[in-house]
Amino acid sequence: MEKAQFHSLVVLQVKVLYCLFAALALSVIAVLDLIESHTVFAAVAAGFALVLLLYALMLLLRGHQRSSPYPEWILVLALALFTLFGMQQSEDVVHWVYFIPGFIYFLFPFHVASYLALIYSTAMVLMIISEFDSYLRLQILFTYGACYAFAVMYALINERNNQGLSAIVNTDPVTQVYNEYQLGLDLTKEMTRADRQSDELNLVGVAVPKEWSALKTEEYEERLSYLGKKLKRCLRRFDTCYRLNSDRFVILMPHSTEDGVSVLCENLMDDLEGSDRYAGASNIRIHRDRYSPEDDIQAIVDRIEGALNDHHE
Amino acid sequence: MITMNDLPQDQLLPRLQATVYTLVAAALLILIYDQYRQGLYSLVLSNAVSIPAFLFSAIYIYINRDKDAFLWVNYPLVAALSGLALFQLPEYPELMVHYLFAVPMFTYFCLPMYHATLFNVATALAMAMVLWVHEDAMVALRYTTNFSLLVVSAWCFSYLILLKGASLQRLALTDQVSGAYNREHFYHLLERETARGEATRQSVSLIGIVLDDYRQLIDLHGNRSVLQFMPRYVKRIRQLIRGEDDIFRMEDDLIVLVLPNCGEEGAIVLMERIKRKIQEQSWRPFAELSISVAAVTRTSTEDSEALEKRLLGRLNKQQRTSLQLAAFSE
Repeated sequence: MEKAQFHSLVVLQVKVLYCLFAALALSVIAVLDLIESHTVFAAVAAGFALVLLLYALMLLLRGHQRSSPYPEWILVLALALFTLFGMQQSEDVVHWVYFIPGFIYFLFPFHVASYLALIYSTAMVLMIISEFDSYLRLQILFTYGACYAFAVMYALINERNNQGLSAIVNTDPVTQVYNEYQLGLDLTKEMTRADRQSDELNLVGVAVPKEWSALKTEEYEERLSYLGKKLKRCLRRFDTCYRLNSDRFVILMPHSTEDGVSVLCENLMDDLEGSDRYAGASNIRIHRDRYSPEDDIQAIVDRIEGALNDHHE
Repeated sequence: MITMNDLPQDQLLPRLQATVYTLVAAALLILIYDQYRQGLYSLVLSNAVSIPAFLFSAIYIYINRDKDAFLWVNYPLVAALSGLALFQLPEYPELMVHYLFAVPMFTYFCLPMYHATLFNVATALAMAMVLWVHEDAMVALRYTTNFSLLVVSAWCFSYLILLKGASLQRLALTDQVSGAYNREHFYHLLERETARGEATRQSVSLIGIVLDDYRQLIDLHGNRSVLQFMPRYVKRIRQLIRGEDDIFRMEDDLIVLVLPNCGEEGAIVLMERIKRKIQEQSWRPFAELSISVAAVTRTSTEDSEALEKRLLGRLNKQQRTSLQLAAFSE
């Protein structure tokens, strides 16, 4: 299993388990409310539990497919409204306000979350001041403030960590081949080596079939990942494959001849034609290129992209 | 001047912790005043213990922010806070339940995930028992369920964030601190160069460079100085090698150079040159810098794993010899 797929599978499992646990916990709360004759609260808790259960089932049925973030946003919105209006009816509802800052910072990008949390907190503080007596008021605000501060700090560290890591990630997460930035670094070295050793450096550009561009993101990425795998299978042990920002692939073939390039292209086409997993996969466009000493990196990439565009037209 | 934005993540954490603890201590002061006005004197007393605990932790973390050993102070802090809240729970269940609800987010923020989970499970059990004995089963069940949901939510956030970070880390080819390639990329590249060497009958050499007394440098000058030194050190080494050579940071103190199409003699000459140039240069704030170096060249039957193993063996031997020479010279 590819690393990226494994990652999304684990995320899915964690989400499903969390929904099931939350549904169970809310069912317990609903039963307790029912025993204490808080019928409305019991109904709300049972409703939330049912929604979470259905959402978990939906996640399981959809399997690997990327889930939309909207159900989670709706759940947070519902929880926020429930806490703001519910705390006027029962003191126990106020326990749920401590969940909100964490949820908001987890689900939304940092800047958006900061605004949302600020708006919610203002409304919440006003409600607490007007609804609760002095015995509880400050204690609730203190705990909420602490939860809010920890959520912000946690999110800030996470944000910084992701920024730092994104800058050094030179592997494409979808296809697991190197990205365009790494092509720039590697091509510089290979050009130097080819010049020094008076050796041939061939490049092969591959463009995905034009029909794929009309597909949904999820299906398109599945096909890209499939093509990436096929390309990697055809490489010699010291060839490298890169995905450009334009979703074209470039194969770098040091110490190679025209014949070597032809063998790679033939193997790739045979492999794609022999597989019936995705119709039209063999409609890829291929362009061969060779490095000459007057070339620079941008010139090579532009030449390959230009040739693949010409094929397209 | 270095701002918060320039700091790497592991240096940002202690600063944020110290800031939050100070803020919490200030908020507790206001809470104490309010509780004093209401005549809740035993709560005033327990919160009065919490304030110095937070302030002490903040000061300790700030003083040791550039060393690795500041994290332990969080353990007694969370234990003291939860202990005080559980101690007051029978007398003020309504107030202390709110107090305890801050514990999950707090623990996942300042403790490693596994320890935070264990701590929260223990707190949930203790809370359930105290409430069961002093209140009733229904109250205990309701509050413990809410607390458990909060713990599970915090656990999920924490786990998914860790997972995302680990996934990005796996896709990264570069070491965040030094800017050299990382260990993961080393194996891919060495495999590739070995295959290329076999196909083209060209030699591949490795040079290993170990920074002697790395831990001692951190203890003497702090983590921050060493982290600031690493990019300069790697940059200097990069200036001494050819354009087609690659530089990898394999461990904190170990740098490995992969030299394609470079024979044994060339590797030894380069190794000696690097050693001389690095040791000659002044590396402020360090008084002097000592490195151990070793070079190996791939034999025709050797695979990448065996080549790496031979390099590490030679480096160990080199370090042992240096230590023995140092002992004799004293």
